[in-house]
Parts: sequence; structure tokens; C-alpha cells
Amino acid sequence: MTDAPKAIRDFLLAQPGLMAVVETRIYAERDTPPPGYTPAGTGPAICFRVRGGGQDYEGVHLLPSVQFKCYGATEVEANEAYRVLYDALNDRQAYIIKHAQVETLGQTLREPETGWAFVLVFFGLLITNEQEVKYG
Amino acid sequence: MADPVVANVFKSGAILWYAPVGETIPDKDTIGAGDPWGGNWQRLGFTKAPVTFAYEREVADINVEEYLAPIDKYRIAEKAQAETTLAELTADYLSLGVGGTPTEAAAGAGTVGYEELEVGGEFRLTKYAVGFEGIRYDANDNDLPLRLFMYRAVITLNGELEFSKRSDDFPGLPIVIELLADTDNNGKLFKFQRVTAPAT
Repeated sequence: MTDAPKAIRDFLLAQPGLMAVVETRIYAERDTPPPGYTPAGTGPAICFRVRGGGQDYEGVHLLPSVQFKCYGATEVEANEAYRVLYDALNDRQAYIIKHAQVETLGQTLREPETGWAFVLVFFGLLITNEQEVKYG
Repeated sequence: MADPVVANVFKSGAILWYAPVGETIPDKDTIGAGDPWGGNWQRLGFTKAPVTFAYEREVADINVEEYLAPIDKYRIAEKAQAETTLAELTADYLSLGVGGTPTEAAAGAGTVGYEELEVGGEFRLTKYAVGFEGIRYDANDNDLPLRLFMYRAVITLNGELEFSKRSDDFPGLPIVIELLADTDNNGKLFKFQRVTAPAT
């Protein structure tokens, strides 16, 4: 079975426009950035995790719905991270990430505990599921 | 029987191109996926509905008294068509579906830029070569085109233009592309072409 979070992160790390803004601060299967991170001190970052989804009839594709949180020192910076994520992912095609489309446009929020600004956005993906081919 | 290949399953939109009948189809060796087709091929702009393609045939059974089931079948008619809805309402695109010759002028001092199309009274339908292209990615992430060429076709407005402030939709140009036999090519209707690997 394809490691979907790794596939998504690898795909995003190969997108120059996104890297120019968040560098390698893309955290898979996390709701918030790792300890020590602060938006003002470290810079914009993206956390994502699969929130559900399914697979196709044959199981050769996974169909995850993925939650992304785009952090920034301000709402403006968080939205910049969101926009470059959108440009990097929406309607893109490749072999493993076969298709991606935004499900719900971004909503600007603040973390209740830390007060960090972030944009919450959801994407639906079609991911090639690399597995042993079964018959029958 | 071939083994299943997940890279043969692809998800892609399709981009439409049109040209005068007889236009050479794009060279698969030099025109890559997503590249302009060159020559007189012109891209049809944004679409607001998927591109669909359908082929139908009419078949006659050959029956003999000695058997209950037909002993053979013959194709006695065939037709194919593609459909979509263009998202850009321009005189050029409208003329594809309703005929007429669009005219346009650039803006000048005291004069607006404009395009116009006068329609009606034409018996002959203009024929076009039409094609579309999707993109497939192989296991090495090479983008490879999948193309379908329709040698001769007429394009017809295939529904109403709807202008509404209350609708959550916007006006589009629904078109149907009806294929004709290519009389210079033994009556062929279309060619399907799938690039399976990049050149070595």
C-alpha cells in the first residue's frame, strides 16, 4: 500500500513555488507544527493529515480527503502559504499523486491555545496505490 | 491477457483543438503533452463541462432458417460525436456552432474594440478537423499525451445560452461535434493515439 502522507509530502517538497515560502516546513500527519516551532521565529509552515476517504473499486487508487493547516506569523502570511499550497496542488497530476482538487476553500482561523494564525483547507486526492497485483 | 498496469489508469481533463479539414495531425515525436499542436491548429479555450466522446454503430443480423441465433452481424451504419460546453462566449467560438464569419477590430482613438457575428441564410456547413488531448503519467512520472483526432466534423450549438442573475451558473456555449467520414481516407472517422513511452 502506498504511504499516502509520504507521497503527498514528497510531491509538495518538489514544488519550487511552495518551497520558496515554506522551505521544508511541511509536516505530515500532524495537527500542529513540532515543538520549538513558532510562526514568527521559524516562518510559514504546513501541517496536514488524512481525515478520511476511501479507495476505488479495484483498490489501485486511494481517495483520501486531506486537511491542511497553513501557518504564518500573521493572517496575511498564513494566506500566502495557503495560496502557494493551492498553486502547487490544485488540479495537478503526476504518477503517484494522480489528481488533486480543493474540496473546501481556505478559512482563516487562529489556534485557540497559541493564537497562531492559520488557514484551514481541504483537498481531495487520487493517489496511485502501489501494491501486489491480485487476480480474482 | 496482459497484466494490469496501474499507470494505464489515468485521470485527466481534455483540451480541444480545431483546424481546417486536412490539417496535418501533430507530430507525436516532437509535440509533447500539453504543447501547442502547431500548424493551423487553434485551441478551444476554457470549457465548463467535460469533453465526452461517443461512437455508435448500427448492426444488421444475418439469420438463416436453420439456426435460432444470428450466424453473423454486419455494421450497416456508424456515427461518432464529441460534446462539451465552452466557457468563453466570443464571436469566434459562437461561429463554430452557428456559422457566419466573425469580424473584429482593435480599439482606436474614439472607437471601441469589438467583434461581431451575423448569422443566417447559409446552406453549407463548415467542416473542421477537431482533436482533443489528455495527459497520462507513467511510472517514471513522464507526461505522455493521449490524443484523438477527428478528421472531418461539423460543430453545432447544442443547447440554449442561458443568461440569469439568479442562477449559480454562468453562460456557456454547449457544442456537439459530429464526425463525418473522411472521403480522402477510405471513410475513416477518427484516430486514437496514445504515446506509451518517451523517445529513448
